[in-house]
Amino acid sequence: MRKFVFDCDTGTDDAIAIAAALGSDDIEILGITSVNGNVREEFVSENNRNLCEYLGVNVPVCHGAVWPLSCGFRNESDMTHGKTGLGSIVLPEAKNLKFDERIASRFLYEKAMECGGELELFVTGPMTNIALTIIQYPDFSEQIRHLWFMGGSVWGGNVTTTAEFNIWADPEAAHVVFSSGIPMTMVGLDVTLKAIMEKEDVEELRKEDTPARRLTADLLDFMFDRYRRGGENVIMHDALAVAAALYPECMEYQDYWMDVETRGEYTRGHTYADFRGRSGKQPNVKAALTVNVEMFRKWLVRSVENCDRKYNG
Amino acid sequence: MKRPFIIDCDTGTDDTIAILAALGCEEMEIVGITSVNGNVAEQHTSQNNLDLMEYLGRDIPVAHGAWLPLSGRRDSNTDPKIHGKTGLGNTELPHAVKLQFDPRIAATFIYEEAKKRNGELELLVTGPMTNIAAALAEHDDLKDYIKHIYFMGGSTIGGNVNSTAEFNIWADPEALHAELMSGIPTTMVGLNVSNLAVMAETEEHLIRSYGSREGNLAADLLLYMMGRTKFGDYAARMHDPLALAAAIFPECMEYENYYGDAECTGTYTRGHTAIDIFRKSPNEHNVTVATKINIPLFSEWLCERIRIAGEKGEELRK
Repeated sequence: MRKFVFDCDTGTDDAIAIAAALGSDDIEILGITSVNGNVREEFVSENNRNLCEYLGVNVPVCHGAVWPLSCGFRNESDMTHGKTGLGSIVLPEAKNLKFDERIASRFLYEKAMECGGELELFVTGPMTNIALTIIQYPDFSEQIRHLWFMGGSVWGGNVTTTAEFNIWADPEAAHVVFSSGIPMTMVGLDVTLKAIMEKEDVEELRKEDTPARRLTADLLDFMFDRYRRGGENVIMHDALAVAAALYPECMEYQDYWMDVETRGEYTRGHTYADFRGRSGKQPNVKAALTVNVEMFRKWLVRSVENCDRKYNG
Repeated sequence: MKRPFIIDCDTGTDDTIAILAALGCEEMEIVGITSVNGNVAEQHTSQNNLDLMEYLGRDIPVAHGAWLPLSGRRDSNTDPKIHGKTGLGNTELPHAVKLQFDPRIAATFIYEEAKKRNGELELLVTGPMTNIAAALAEHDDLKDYIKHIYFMGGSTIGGNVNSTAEFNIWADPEALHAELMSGIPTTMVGLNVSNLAVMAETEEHLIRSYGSREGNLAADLLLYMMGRTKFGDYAARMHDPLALAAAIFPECMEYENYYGDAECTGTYTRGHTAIDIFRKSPNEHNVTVATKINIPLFSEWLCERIRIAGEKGEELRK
């Protein structure tokens, strides 16, 4: 059975991605680590804890980095994820589930060693926790079998013309991860901007009123409303990174040597793809470039439904 | 009255097609052609311009221009696969024997001709912006004499040299920065539209059927450009003719006004055109950016202009 730790900044679409990962039969989620990103870490970690108890899942939830490596900027509540990260949705406060006492980087390191080279990572927020683990534990990187992340873009950006939010929020961390030698698959805006859910997906989810289905449907409805108000569309950025690991057939990929721009007056946070081979370096990232949206949507709805069967069946 | 233009270019396969089409634009007076380092070295772009004018029997002044970008870097030419060794693919024009280069360097030529025309001169720039930046640096009042600059370069998203930079701006980002900060009204035609302006066999056949020297040359260049798709993802994209269209046939595109600047630092992103598409900059807009293109409208217009250029040319050469 494949083993994963889920590192995230939950986050509306992070929450759906977590439910989908938990709903997958052939993997085990060893823990959820929280990072500053969409909203502050204090909200992110609380969301993760509440989410797990709400879904009926007993996995360790850890605190993580509260600032990016450069300490420059912290996102405050915004239109995309609402004040505390889950849009207009309020989860019941967890009563039983306590935070794991380890900070994310320590937890990640210990799990990596326990898994003996088999651990895989889902990363759906800024890469701060992963970078901190890499720079503190020299034997960590070689223990990671694969890292699946949502972030970056070969073409364009959503914060600036060249930078996607997760990488823009901590370019130095992303640079550390990109140059670590960990095998990586990038699910960036090239594909995620196309992963738009439909009203019929909500209708399908609402056929039964169980926790994961209800939460996902509520989050999607929040996003439909957000789109009507001129905000971001009903885009499943993070769940697509989970799909890359568990349902790779729904996308097509290209191998590139990639690195992150950490300088630049306008372009900090760009994920540079050497698509002309000018660097002469071997590829270090597999980047998703096209997605079959229909296949992805069906997979996502199925996985969320399965989450309820597994934990509330 | 005809609109006076200088064409500043790094000829260049698609630059040549832009020049051929410009010769068929009766609303334009081509005051001169100035050459710049870019697709190939300046010694080739200037020679190509001179040879082209003589071959077509046109008595239009051709000037030398900058042979290095403002940064002095010497690694700023295109891969020879794209425009061939000397810039015209595998086409060879007869070496000019009658026409001489204008004695003035591009920056001076542009300034003097602009001043003569009391603010009516417009520029079509299809290579790196070096000559314009040099002229701006040397002549404080140049900006008052240029009515508008139409340039091919940059992109609102992505690039063709790497993931963020289009060639012309990558080759000299400092020069575009200087141009955009000058206050001269500017229209940008970037890859976000020019990548879509692809010509194919249909157009090649049509243009060749005109039977003129202009038509045959354009058709040969198109054929070369289509052939190089074998090397990768290159196609017969009409980057430079599209900048001409922005000036003469603006109806074939849609535009938005933005604040924009060129990224001059960056480990990987030097040469990106940071166009403020998310409207976050407090700065006033300084560039009109082509955002949409009607491809059939553009193609038809371009072929027709080459046809007219051929008719006029055959008449002149009689």
